[in-house]
Amino acid sequence: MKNYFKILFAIIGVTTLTAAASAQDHSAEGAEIYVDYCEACHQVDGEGYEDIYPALKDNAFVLGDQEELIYLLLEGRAGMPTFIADLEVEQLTTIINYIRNSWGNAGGEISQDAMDEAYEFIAEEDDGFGPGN
Amino acid sequence: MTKTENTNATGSTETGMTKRSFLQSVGMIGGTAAVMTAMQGWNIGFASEMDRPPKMSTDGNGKKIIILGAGLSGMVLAFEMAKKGYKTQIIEALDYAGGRCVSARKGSVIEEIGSDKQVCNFQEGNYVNYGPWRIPAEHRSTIYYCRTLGVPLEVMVNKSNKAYYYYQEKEGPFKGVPVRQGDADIDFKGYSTELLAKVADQGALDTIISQEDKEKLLEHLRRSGLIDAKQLNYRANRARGHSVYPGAATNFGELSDPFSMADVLSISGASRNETADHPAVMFQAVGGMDQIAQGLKNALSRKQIRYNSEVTDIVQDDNGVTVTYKDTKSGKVRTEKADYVVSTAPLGVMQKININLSEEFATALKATRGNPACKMGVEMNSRFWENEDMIYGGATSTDIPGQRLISYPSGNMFGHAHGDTGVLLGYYPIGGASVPVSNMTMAERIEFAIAAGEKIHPGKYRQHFTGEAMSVAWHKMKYALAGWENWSRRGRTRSFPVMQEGDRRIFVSGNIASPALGGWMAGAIEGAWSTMEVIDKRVAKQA
Repeated sequence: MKNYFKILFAIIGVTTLTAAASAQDHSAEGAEIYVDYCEACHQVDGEGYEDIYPALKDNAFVLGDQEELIYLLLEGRAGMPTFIADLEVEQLTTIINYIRNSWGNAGGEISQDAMDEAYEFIAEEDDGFGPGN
Repeated sequence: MTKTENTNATGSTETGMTKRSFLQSVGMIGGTAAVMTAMQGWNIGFASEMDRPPKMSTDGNGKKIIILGAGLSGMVLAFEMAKKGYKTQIIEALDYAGGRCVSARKGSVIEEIGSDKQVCNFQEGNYVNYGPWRIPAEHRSTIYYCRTLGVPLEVMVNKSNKAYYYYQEKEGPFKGVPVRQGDADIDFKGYSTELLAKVADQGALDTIISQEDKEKLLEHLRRSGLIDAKQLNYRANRARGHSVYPGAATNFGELSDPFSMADVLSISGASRNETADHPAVMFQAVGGMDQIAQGLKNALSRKQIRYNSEVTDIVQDDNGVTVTYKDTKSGKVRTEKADYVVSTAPLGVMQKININLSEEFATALKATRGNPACKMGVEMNSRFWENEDMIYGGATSTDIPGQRLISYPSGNMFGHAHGDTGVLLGYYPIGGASVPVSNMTMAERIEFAIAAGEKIHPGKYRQHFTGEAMSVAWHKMKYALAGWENWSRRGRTRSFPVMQEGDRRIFVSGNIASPALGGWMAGAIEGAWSTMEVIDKRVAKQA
């Protein structure tokens, strides 16, 4: 199934590239995911909440090392949850690119391949520790 | 497995084996877990290492410990270590003891980040456990404190056959139709019994099990009462029960007809309810789970907890550790010195404190994730689920995004304690699924919960709602920032051992110190116990 998506997205990717698309192509779906899964804490327009939830706008971590950011999204980190069980891997790529390229952020694209690779690694590592009570 | 091995594995007692040799043979095949199970079957008692606090080798050596957080873990640390002779002081940011071990009842306040205060206006006696809400028998550490501190527990019915499965996202005849869990479960078992009996009878298992075992198996299946003895077909039965209930005189009732197998297979069972730590019968504190926290608080001296004190800085050096905190009411800044600090603050919260930690330790603390969680208690002016639907406790399992379940209260059953009212747990999404719910306003959340409940109890849910509800999104509570925290496996293998040893004078405890018990009170308690041992060893070395 995942390979199917990979191929499908590879095709879509090529088509959109030739259509001279930019990161903003994530905006519609990205904005929707953002409202559902990010905005409750990181607030409207990635502004964050003072001293509690970091702003995503102009955030060094968001705009920094791609791999670290991918793992942050897949595994959670320092209080931030994981969304690996709630979003499809393609949606995770969409939201990560939406955040890296919105509100003045210009982080460039993280590829679906990079996300897939980390996703498979993390998914394999899941050893069934339940989520709690 | 060959037939011969199979016979051995089941441990026939006719071979004249001694208990010891039997246990050895079980161990060879099944490992330690199998031996333990066998021993328990014989009532050879042995206590888990963690059914009571650890024995400590020192009397504290005059050391003073500052504990951050008056949750279960912090209070257990203060209680147990003070008993051993340590000087202990808890610093708590909030104005109450208990942390996330809380219940909302009349007058309770919940205030999420960026939201208005909710003040609970439930009727007298009604409450919702918006923190922990169920204790399995195997959490002996939790039960230990309830026993020793005199906190009364009562049965919490975690699974009721009369509660529903409600799946609206799944195609099939039951899409959007509430189905009694007992009906779906027994039909699944019934058809499985039929199929197994038929394949066994037709010889399809002959290469897998012995003739003798096959006959025994068939006898068990026939005696289940689910299939008829000759045709082996699953049919109406007394386990599934009646569609017309039997009564006096000539009312013999009518057994209910099973669903078709295809229909039953379109319902997915709620397997989460059936894990060893989520059995059908669980326990809760009478009157609200916060009574466990209150029990611990009452066991401490009043001075042991300093409330309304938000820690901002911690500095450790060769001589000791200095904690700086701010009085959240007066704004006054104070400092206090100790030999050690144990933080039981959720790690997401601890990240906000300035501490001179080693880089390795600071990095280790970042290897956990917060687990968001939302709960909603909705008050009803009639226990219609009992009176009309015969549901006594348990939970309806749903696939309504963001809802996950409705739990029916095990307290005040039949309205005996304080009248025909009750508070339902209207939703309890955990993990990422809970985040969209937390982005709703309080009014939107109530409407979401009521509309979802109305699908399962049409014509009743909205009608009986008193208008009073309490809702929490734990990841939006300033001093929690998560329902609980989990380690990824990478974090557990690489970072947890670093965290567990502490960094010079600073230790981290709480739920996070029990990676396998994330989100449980037992995790907080046993986390505290394990940290006590680490500190005790450290102090013993210095003595």
